[in-house]
Amino acid sequence: MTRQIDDAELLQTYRGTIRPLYAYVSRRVGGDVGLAEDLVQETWMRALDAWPARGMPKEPLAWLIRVAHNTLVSHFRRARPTLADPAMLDLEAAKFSPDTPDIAAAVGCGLSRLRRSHASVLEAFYFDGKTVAEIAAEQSVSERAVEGRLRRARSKLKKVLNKILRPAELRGHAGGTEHARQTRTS
Amino acid sequence: MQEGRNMPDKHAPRSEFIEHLQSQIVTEVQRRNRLPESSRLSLRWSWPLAAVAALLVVVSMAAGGVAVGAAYEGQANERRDALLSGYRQRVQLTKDRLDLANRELQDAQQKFQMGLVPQLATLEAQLKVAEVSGQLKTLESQMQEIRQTGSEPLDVVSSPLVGGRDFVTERLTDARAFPMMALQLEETRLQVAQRRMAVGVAEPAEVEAAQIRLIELKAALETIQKKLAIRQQLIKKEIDATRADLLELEADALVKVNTLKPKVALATRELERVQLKVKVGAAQNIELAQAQMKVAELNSDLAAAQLELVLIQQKLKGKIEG
Repeated sequence: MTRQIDDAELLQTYRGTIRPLYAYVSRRVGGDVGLAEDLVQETWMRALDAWPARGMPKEPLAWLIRVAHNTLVSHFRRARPTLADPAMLDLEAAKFSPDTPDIAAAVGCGLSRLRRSHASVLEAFYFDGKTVAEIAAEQSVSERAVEGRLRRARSKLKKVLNKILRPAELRGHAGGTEHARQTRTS
Repeated sequence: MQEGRNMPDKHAPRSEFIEHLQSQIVTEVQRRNRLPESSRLSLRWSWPLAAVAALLVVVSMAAGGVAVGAAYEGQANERRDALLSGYRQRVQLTKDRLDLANRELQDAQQKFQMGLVPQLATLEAQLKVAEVSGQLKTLESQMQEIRQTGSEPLDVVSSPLVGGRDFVTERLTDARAFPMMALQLEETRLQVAQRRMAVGVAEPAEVEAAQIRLIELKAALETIQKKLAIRQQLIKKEIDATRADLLELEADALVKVNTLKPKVALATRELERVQLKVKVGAAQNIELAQAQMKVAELNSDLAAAQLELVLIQQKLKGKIEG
């Protein structure tokens, strides 16, 4: 059964959620304003489709973020990333950050093809800027366990990126990453 | 292990975007609230309703029907996402083209101020900006339609309203802006060509070509006006969808005939000029053959367009009588 949406309630929700929702999306598209605005708009249009019938969710921001996440995954599954400089995609480098549109697109495309458990830990680390300790506290596991999950997830992501990015470019780059990792370990 | 990163300010939304989306949401909610309950249900829940209906039937037969309903909704979302993804790429390309056109306009304006280019160059650059802006507006409107319908946007005059919103009229109204601006440019171009011909530095063909462009633009504007009128008749239920489609086809065929006629006249005059030149040895026979070929091609196109127009008008007549 549908019901009329209360304008005031909706606007209050909009005002209260637009900034965190936009930030969530923008971080995942490397600050690409056009794409972020489009995806946020799409998320809200879906809310207007769903809420009158099902009622406003108890946690609107969580609902919006979940829909935005699905929209992002759907977008990145179709996108074909073209990375200008694959050498910038050093997932293990201390300074690595997917904060430009092309790098975020490459990482986003890779994450959209990973298992949810692998993708979520990488998303929390790379896009939400959470530390290992924060992720460990959230998931009620030890920091060591999170480090292990991050390592395995990165490995999976690299394999996926090897397939979707131009093989020759990434192979050359992946060798460099491996070398860097070994240097750090030793 | 490395530390997580701090969030920079670039992830804050633009205030213009916040206001724009807010007004869009308010408008959308008000529009939906105005719709009667039944149409809201049918518009918004066409797929889920189909899924539920399918489910009821299937559940009575077997418990596996849940998956069928989910699959319907999933397919609808999948199709919508696929369409939007394609349009998003086109929007991005158009935005890039708009940036380029704006830079070219600035460049032309600077050069004009320095006296390096005529004013016509700045007008042409302005026209390019207007053209790409119009394309961007159309694409954004089409994306809004896809978001609501999950299907390809429809631009024929008989297309149904989408949730009470008339995307066809909106896009036709927007489409008038470019030919209206182009008309101003072509009028200026025609004046320049006439002045050049008066002082003997331009051929009559240059003036005639400018006149033809004016005719084409006026015809394009007239066609848009006709389509808007047909659309309004359809909305007011004065005509049905089939008649609206035929009237639209007639308008398109008529504009084709009306723009080909002056082209044939121009090509014929050009042929006469070339014939005279050949007589006095100022042109070669190959140029004459080319001019003859052009007249023949245009005449053939005109005959085909006239035949098409007659056929459509016969169908219309049959529809009115029958």
